[in-house]
Amino acid sequence: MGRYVIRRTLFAIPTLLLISLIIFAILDFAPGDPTSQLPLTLPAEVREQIRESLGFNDPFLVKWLRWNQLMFINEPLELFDSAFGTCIGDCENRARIISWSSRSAAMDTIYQRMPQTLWVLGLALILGTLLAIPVGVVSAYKQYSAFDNIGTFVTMVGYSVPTFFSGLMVIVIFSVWLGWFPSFYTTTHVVDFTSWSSIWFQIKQMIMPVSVLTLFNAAGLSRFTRASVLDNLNEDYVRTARSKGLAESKVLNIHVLRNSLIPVVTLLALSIPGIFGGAIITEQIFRINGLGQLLIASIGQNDIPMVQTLTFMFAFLIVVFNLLADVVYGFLDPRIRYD
Amino acid sequence: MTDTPAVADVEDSLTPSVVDDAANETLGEHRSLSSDVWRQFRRHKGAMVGLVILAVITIGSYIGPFVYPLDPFDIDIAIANQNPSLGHLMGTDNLGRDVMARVLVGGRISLSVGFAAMIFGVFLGTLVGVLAGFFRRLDGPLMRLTDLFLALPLLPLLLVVIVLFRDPLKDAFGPSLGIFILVVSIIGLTSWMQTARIVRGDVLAIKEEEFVLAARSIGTKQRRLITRHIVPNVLSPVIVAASLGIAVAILTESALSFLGLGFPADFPTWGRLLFDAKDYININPMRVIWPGLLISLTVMSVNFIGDGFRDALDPRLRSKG
Repeated sequence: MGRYVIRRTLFAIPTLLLISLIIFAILDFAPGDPTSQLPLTLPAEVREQIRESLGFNDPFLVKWLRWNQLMFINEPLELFDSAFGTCIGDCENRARIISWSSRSAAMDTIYQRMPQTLWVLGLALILGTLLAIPVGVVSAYKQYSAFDNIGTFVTMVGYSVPTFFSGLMVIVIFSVWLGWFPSFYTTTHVVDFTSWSSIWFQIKQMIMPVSVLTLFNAAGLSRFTRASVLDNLNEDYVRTARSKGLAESKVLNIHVLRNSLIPVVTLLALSIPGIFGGAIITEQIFRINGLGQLLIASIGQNDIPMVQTLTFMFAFLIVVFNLLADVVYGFLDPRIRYD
Repeated sequence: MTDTPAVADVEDSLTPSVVDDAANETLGEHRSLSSDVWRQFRRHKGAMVGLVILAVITIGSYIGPFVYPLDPFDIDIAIANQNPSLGHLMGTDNLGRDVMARVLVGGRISLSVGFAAMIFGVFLGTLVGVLAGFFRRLDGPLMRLTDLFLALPLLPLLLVVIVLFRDPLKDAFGPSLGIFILVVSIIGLTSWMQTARIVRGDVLAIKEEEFVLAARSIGTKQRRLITRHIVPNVLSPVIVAASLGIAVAILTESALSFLGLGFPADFPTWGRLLFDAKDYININPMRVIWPGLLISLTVMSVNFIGDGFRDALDPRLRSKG
């Protein structure tokens, strides 16, 4: 198992490098200019000097390699230093990726925005999986029962209604008409775990975005779980297990469930980019100032270093989640490990 | 839609037992494969309801604007933000434009984008899948490429690409056609991977079948072998992928427009209408509901149709009926 995990991790590194090349190549076409936000009275030669000092006129490959150096060496060092209060090398003058619009390190802004995104997205992912798997299993086990028919229809609806519509509907119903929850997310609220009202406030503002994303994730997953369990229930090994007198709960929970979850984990890994896409939209609807909202704002401001770094962070998170799925996959299916 | 001759070509892929069944039945009455598929498809209630809803929405969007008397671009501030009434069945927006007229016109763009992007994506996916499955030398590189595309953060990249190429294409093809080409091609370019994987798997299996060996041994050229023998046999997964691809394409276009980065404001698509309506959600909540409802209904009926096709084209299920 350990060797399998190491092999998958090593495989992720060239993937990340290639992704960074693609993102960088696309953005290098961009007509952006780091001096476009400066006053028009600035003389042309000063502008040229600013561009030169930012390395804007260097060849593509040089810019890409420099960006990689900043992203893969300098930024992790900076993170390490700020976490442990150390100073590795020339930590005072360490070069960092600088945003064109805020003139500060892009990664610092990203660190500020990351917790909101990860909280909402992570909770929705966990709750969605916890909801989807039991529903899918029961649906398949009691095929064509009332539970299955209703469940199949509800998941089809959940799967087809886009988050930007269900999110707006939830706002109309629970914020505009009923007034139960706030329609936007206040990030300035610091959760004070000793006060109930503070925790309740946080829960209240998280309920709508989390549940919209949860339902969307759960719908596709439970449809797939149902199909997968149905496939396995007709297999010969289930008949064998039953005929040797195994309790039905053991047949279902140990034999069928474990085999059915293998393709479900694959689907989960494949749908992670979509889940991140959904999170960008949800952040836009509920005004959560997370990574997605930052991305949209940076695109609007033509802030190319920020967009590059952010898109890469999304790719990084996707690769990390895929890696996790691979590890779970190896845990569920021993055949994969000894490939 | 199911009665196309293309479906009939799937015959070769049937398992031997089904072919035997079919042979026995020909003694009684003649049953072609396409009519068999259609018979099975009709049994799927959800798929039939979906087909009717999709037909109504499509006809409404393409013919509706010619029949409906009100102009979608007619501004009249005096009647802004009205609730649905007999004069304006879906109410009016913040500039007094008739919402129903805009929804009908918007459907035309959304559906066209959906169909065009699906055709492009499915074509790309089938091409990559067939090439990877048929030519062993291409298999490795093409499948690594597919894996890479699956790991890309697609929505952020789509947003970036749109912003970068919007203006050059606008200048080259005019505002509406330019954006249309851009949106269709980037949705197609980012949605072919699932089709490619499924098609590759099927091609790998079909390549080893005896009829391929037979065709090869009578000296069939490779290009003809692919177009005449391989491609018709992978059509059933392609049809299923195509119907689901429409749903994905419509959702992606709406998401892009909803983020304000798809079609410009003077080209109402369903996503764009939602985007414009969301700022007036307190004053006029009904305005959000119409375009959203139509997106959801369209996607849902397309998904049900895809389910119906999957069941109808699966020989294991069909042989039982």
